[in-house]
Amino acid sequence: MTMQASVPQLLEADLSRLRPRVAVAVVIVALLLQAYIPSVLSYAHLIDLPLLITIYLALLRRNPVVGLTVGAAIGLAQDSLSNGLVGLYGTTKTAVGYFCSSLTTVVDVNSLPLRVVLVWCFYMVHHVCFWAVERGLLARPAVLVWPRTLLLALANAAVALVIYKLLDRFREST
Amino acid sequence: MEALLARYRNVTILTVVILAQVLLLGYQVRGDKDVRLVRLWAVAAITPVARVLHGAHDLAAGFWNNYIGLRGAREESAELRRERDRLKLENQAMRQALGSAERLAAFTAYQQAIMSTTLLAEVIGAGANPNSRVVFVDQGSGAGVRAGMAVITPEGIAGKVQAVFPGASLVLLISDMYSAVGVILENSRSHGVLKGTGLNEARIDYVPNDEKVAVGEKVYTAGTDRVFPKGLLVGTVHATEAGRDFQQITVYPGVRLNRLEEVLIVTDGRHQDLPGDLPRPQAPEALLPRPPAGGGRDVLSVVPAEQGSGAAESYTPQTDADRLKRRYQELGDAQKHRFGEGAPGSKPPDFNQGWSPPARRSAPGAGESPRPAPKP
Repeated sequence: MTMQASVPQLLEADLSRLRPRVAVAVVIVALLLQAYIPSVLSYAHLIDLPLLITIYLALLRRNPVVGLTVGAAIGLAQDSLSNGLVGLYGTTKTAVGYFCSSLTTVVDVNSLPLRVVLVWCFYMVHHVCFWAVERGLLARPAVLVWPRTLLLALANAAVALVIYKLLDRFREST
Repeated sequence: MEALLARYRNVTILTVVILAQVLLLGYQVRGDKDVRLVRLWAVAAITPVARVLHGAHDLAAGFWNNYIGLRGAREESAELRRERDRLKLENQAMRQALGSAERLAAFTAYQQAIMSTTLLAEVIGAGANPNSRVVFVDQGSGAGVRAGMAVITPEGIAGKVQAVFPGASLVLLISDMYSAVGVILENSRSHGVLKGTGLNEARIDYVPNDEKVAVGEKVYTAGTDRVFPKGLLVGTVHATEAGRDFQQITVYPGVRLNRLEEVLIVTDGRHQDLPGDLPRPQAPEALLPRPPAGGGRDVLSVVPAEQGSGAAESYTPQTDADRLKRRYQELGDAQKHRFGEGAPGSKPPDFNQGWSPPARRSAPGAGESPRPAPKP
């Protein structure tokens, strides 16, 4: 794969284990649920579904470019559906997608428990990046509450365990 | 160069993508502008699906709420209906208790306001004769109730005790045809007799036609019947009509006789003033000085013994009794006897000792005979 390859080509090449339309559908559903469920369940906003999907898709293939592309796309879409600045989630999820995919080159991430542990770690990375962007770049009075962030990471990891188990059913062996 | 780019390709792309987004953030922050186009695309892509999702949710929620969620609704409705009925009864009981407490408070205040001593009684029944207006109250002879006692309420008089039993009394209401009460009209001060009609109204007899009686005028007890103390409210004049000799006056009693629940039995009646009565005469505060002593022709300037010799005021007998009293006191002093002391049967002073008829001012004329000596 060269630098001239387009994003759809990258998606087609690297997400071959998950059909592209399924991957796109999963991303849209995740964004929808992230926007819709909190209106029904008040605590649902604590689960970052787009982040979980970003990690899942980035871990599928060992291509950091695909990972950062998926992360940037999901992050920007999440920004667009929120009332915040466009690029906040995009930046952080780009970094998360990149590092996830990079990690697959040294670690076998097919193990479900390992992926859950990675979710916990990358949730922390995501929040630290988010806090750093808000605090460092935008000079906003963001606060990072470590105990709360650790607990939320655990909760998201638990939800990821269920979601990943479900999404694995749509995977196709290449 | 190409090898260098290939070597750091991933990091370069990451840097470019992140830098682009940072620039985008900076553009929004510095210019306070919004990237509306990006949001528009995202919303346009998501909204249709969200609408479908929302519709599905509504459908599912409606199905759940209208069918599955209504399981047991019939039992719940019946339970709620029973609960409502129970609460209605409870509410009614509490309202009655509240009303009873308010009435009792009014009775207590009225008891303290009037001069007569009263006994609170509760109406426990009515008479069996539909033509008579009587009620039974729960206080009888054991509580000191006697026949003929007045029965009143804060709103006006109700009747009088007709018969007394150990634990109850029969009260003849003022609306009964055999009831008669001496009354007085508030403004005209005309006296009359209030008689029952068998209905919830009464009439006043024996008020002359020339007395001016106004509709709405209040009627009070006159105290002339020796049952009801004077000054208790009876009712108000409803209608007046000139009769042959006396007016025909219809009165609405102040108390609702068909809804009596508690009454006061007057155990010790005291007359009281009617509204507008003149105040009772006061003892005179401005008095003339006493007349000078010795200036009169029939004056005895003698200081009474009990006042002592140092008393400044003189005692002037005015009547024969005064003179006789003075004489006895002089006799008592002469014999060292003090009236009011000594056991019964002890020897009294000699009232004839040294007695001589008082000197007459002038010689008795013709046809006048000397006054006989008083005999004690």
